[in-house]
Amino acid sequence: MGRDQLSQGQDLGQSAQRLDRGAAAVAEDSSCVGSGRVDRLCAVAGPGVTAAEARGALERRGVRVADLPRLPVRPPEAIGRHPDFADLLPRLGRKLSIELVFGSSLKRGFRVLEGLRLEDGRRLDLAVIDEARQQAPAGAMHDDWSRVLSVLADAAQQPGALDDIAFWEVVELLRPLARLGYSQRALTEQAVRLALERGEAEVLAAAVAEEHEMLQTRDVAAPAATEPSAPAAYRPTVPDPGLASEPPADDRAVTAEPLQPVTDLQSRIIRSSTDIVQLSWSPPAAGLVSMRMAAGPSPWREGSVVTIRDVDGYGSPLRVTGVPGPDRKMTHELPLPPTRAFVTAMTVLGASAAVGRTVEITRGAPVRGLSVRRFGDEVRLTWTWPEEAIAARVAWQPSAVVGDAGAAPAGRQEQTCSRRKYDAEGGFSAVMGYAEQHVAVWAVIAGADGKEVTNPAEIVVPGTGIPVHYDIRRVLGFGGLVSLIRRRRRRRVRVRATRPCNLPDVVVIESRRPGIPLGPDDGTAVGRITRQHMEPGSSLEVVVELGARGPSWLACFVDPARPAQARDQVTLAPAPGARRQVR
Amino acid sequence: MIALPFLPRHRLACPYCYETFPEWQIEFRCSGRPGPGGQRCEPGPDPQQQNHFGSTGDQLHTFRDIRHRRRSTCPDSKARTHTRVCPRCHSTFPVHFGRVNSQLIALVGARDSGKTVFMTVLMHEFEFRLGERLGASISGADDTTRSTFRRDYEQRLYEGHSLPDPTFPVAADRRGYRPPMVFRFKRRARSLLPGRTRQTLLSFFDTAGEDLTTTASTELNGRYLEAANAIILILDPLQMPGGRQRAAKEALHQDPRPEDDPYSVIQRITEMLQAGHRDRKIRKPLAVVFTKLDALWHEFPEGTPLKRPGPNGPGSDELDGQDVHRHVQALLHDWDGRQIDEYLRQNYSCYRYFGASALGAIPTPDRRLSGVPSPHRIGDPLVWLLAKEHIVRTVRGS
Repeated sequence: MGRDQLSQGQDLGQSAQRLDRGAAAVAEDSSCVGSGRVDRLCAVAGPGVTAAEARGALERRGVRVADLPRLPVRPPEAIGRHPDFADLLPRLGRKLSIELVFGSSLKRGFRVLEGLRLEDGRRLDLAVIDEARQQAPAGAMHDDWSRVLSVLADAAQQPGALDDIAFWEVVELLRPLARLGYSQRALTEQAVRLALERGEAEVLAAAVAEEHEMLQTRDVAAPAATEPSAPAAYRPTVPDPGLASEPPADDRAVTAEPLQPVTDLQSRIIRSSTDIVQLSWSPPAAGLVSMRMAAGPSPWREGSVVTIRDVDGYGSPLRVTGVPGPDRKMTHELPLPPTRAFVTAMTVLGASAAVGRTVEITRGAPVRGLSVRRFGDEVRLTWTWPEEAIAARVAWQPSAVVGDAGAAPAGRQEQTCSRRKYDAEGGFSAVMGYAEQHVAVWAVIAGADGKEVTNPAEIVVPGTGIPVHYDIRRVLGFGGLVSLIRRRRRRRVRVRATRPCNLPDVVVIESRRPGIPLGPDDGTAVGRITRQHMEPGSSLEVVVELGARGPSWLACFVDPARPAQARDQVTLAPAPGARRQVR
Repeated sequence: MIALPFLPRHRLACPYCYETFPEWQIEFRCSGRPGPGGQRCEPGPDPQQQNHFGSTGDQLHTFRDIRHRRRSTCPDSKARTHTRVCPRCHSTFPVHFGRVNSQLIALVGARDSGKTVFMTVLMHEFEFRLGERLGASISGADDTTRSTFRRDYEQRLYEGHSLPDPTFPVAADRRGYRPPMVFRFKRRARSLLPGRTRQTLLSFFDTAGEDLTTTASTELNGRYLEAANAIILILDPLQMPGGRQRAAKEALHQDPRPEDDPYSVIQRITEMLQAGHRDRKIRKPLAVVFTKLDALWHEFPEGTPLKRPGPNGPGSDELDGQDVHRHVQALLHDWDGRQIDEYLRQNYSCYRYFGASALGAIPTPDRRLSGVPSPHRIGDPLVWLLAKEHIVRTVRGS
C-alpha cells in the first residue's frame, strides 16, 4: 500500500467520521431535512462525500430526507385584500381559520401539503363553509366568526385559494417561532399540536427552519441589504438597536410627512413551552419605530414629542426586527420578560421622537373569552379568569374617542371587580350608557412586588338605540265624548324621548292576537308618526281610530320600510307598565 | 304557622314529606345523651323513616309528648331533648317550625327543563344579590340542606362549572331520593320595634322530570303538589317546535321527547292538582317560567322587557312583571304554544309568565359551562310568589 493510498484511505476515514458526526448533529435537532441540508452536510464532511452517502448517513440516524415545499412569502391574495383578517382569529381565540369550519373534527388531524384534507377525508369547500356559517355562534363572537367564514367563502370561488390560505396560516404560525430560536423538533411539535399530520409537520418544520437559516446567512453576509432604506437624515443621532428594521416600504414620503406616534401598539402573549410576547403595530407614514422597554410606564403622555436624548434616558431599546404581516402591521416576538415590563413605541424622525402607545407586559395570562351582553344601558361582561388572578380592572370609554392620540380620554371610567364578587354575581355589570363602548379588562395578579396587571383583553360593546317610550291613552275632552257617543274606538298614542334623537318613521299597529304584537307584521297599521328630531322631554302625539270591535292590542314599531341604519338609531319600547290592550 | 287551603289552621305540613298533621302530633327524638340516672338510649332502625326515604341508618327512637311543644324528656333515659320530628316521616324539623310561617313550593317541570339548575342559581342569587335587594337573608334551615346544597349543587355548578346530573325519580329508587331542601328566609320586619325580623321557611321540592310522565309516581307527586302553597313550573321553550326553530343551533343537543312537551306537562300537573276536588279553577299561585332564554336571546329585539335589566326595587315590581308576562305570552304564541296559554287561562285563577336564564350562556353538549353562571331575571318568579303571600312587598316601578 503506497503512501498516497494510505493518505487517501485516511482522508476517506476522516470524511466518513465527519459525515457521521454531522449526521448525528442533524439528527439531534431534526427528524426531516431537505436537500439544502444534505448539501451542507456534504460540504462539512469533505469533498469526497456524495449526496447519496450523506442521505444514507442521515437515514441511518432516522432522519428523513424530503423534498421541501416552497414557502409563500406573502399571504394569498384572497386574504391579502382583507387587512383585518389577521386580527380576527386571535380575537376568536383560534389559530387557524379552518377551526371555525371544521370545529373539533379538525383535532383528528389534517394535511396541507397537497391541498387541505382532513384525516376523515373531508376537504374544505363552499358547502362546508356555508354549513359552518349557519352554525356560527350567537353572541359577542358572532360578527368576527361570520367575517372569517365570509372571507373563506369568497376565497372558495378561486380554485386552490382555500388550500393556499390553510398552508399560509400554518407557515405563519411556525415562522415567528423559528425566529425565536425554536429547534426544528420543537417546531414540529408545535405543528403537531395544531393537529397537522406528523409527517407533514416534520416536512413543514424542516422547510421553515431551512428558510430561517437562509435568511440568517443572508443577513450576516449582507447586513446592509436588510437595513431600512430611509434617508440618513431620519436616522437617530444615537445608534439604537431598537429601531424597527422594517419600516413601511414604499409609501414613505418622508420629508412631507409629520411626526406621528404609534397609537395601536398591542402585545399578545403566546403560551407555549417558551412563552413569547408578540408586539404588533401599524407603521407610521414617516420615521422609524423604536421600542423602549422599561420597568415603569413612560413618563410622557401618548402623542407628545420629545428629543432623542430624552428617549435614550428611558428604559432600554429592544432589538426589534418587525415583519409586516398580511394586515400591513409590523409584528415582533420576544421572550416573555421575567418581571413586569412596559414597552413604548417611539417614532423617531431626525432628532425628535413622538411618544406612542405603551403596553404592559406581565407573566400573568390575561382573561380569556371576554364576552358581553347588553341590557339597555347596563352591560354585563363575562370572562374566564387566569388561574392566579385575584381581581380585574375594567375600563370603558365611548369608542369614538379611542385612539385619539394625545387627547385626554373623554368619558373613560374604570372599576375594579374582585374575583369573589364576580363569582358571586355571575359577571361584572355596569351602566355604560347606550353608545358603543370600548372595554378593556386587565386581570390583577398578586406578584412578588405587589399587585400586577396582565395584558388587557379588549372588546367593543355595540351601541344600542336611544330609548324612546310610548304610551296609549284615552281620548279625553269633547273629542272623547263624541267618540264615546258614536261608539268609535279611538286612542291617543304619545311618544316621548329621553334624550335628543332623530325619531324615524313610526307605525302604530293594531293586533287582535291573544298576545301583544311582537312586530309590525302582527297586525294592521292604524297610524303613523313621521320622522323628526326630538328633544328630551318632548313628546309627539297621534290619535288613532281602531277597528269596530275589541279587544285588541296597540303597539308602535319603527317603520320596517326604512333603511336599517335609520331604524337602529332609537329603541322604541312601551313605557313600563303601559296599558296596550284596548277594549 | 302554616296556612294550608281547605284545612283548619292548626294543621301543619311537614316541609320534607309534605304530609299534614295537627301540631299536637309532633314527636320528639331522644338526644342520646345520658339521663340523670346514667341511662342512655341506643340508636336503632327507624322503620318510618326507612319507609319514606329508604335506608337512612340507625336513629335514636322517637316519642310523642302532647303536654310539651318545644322540649321534652325521653321516657326511657329521662334525658332532655328539643329535637322535634315529623310524626309521619320522622324528619327533624327546622328550629321554630310551627311557630313561623312556612311556604311549601313545588318546583315542577319536564325532564331536562333545568329545574335543579334553576333552584341552585336561585338560591345562590338569594344569598348574594336578591337578598341584598330585598333586605333578606336566606340560609339552609337544616344540616342536610346546608351540606347538600353546597356540595352537590352550588360547588358543582359554580366551582366545577358542571351541570348537575338528572334528578332521580322519587318513586323509582328510594336510595336516589332527594329530600326537599328547606331554607330559612329572614327579613327585617316593618315594625316600630328595632331589630324585629320575620322568618319564613321555604321548602323546595325538586321533582324529577320522569315523575311527571309515569303513573307510578303520580300519587306521591300529587301529595307534594296538593300540600304546596305555590308552584313554580319550569318550561323549556326548546321543547316547543316554534322555540326550536328560533333557538341557537348549539343549544339543540338532543331531540325533544313527546312526553316532555310543555303542554303535556301542564296537563298532567293540572290533573294532579284537580284530583279529588270540584271542577273549578286552581287557586294556588302558579309561576310559569320559561328558562334557557340564552338560546333565544338573539331573537329578542332591543327594548323588550326580557332585555331590560331585572328590577332592583325592594320587592316584586308589578309593572315590570306585567310587561314580562305579556311579552312571554306573546312569545308563547310565536313558539306554537297557544294552547298552553288557553289551558292556563281556563284552569288557573292566579298565574304569571316569566322568562329567565339561569346560566346566561349555552352549556356544552357534555353539560359544562365555560365560567360561572350569569343569570338573568332568575329571582322574579320566587319574589312574585313571596309577594303573593305578603312575605315581600309589591312595588310599582323600581
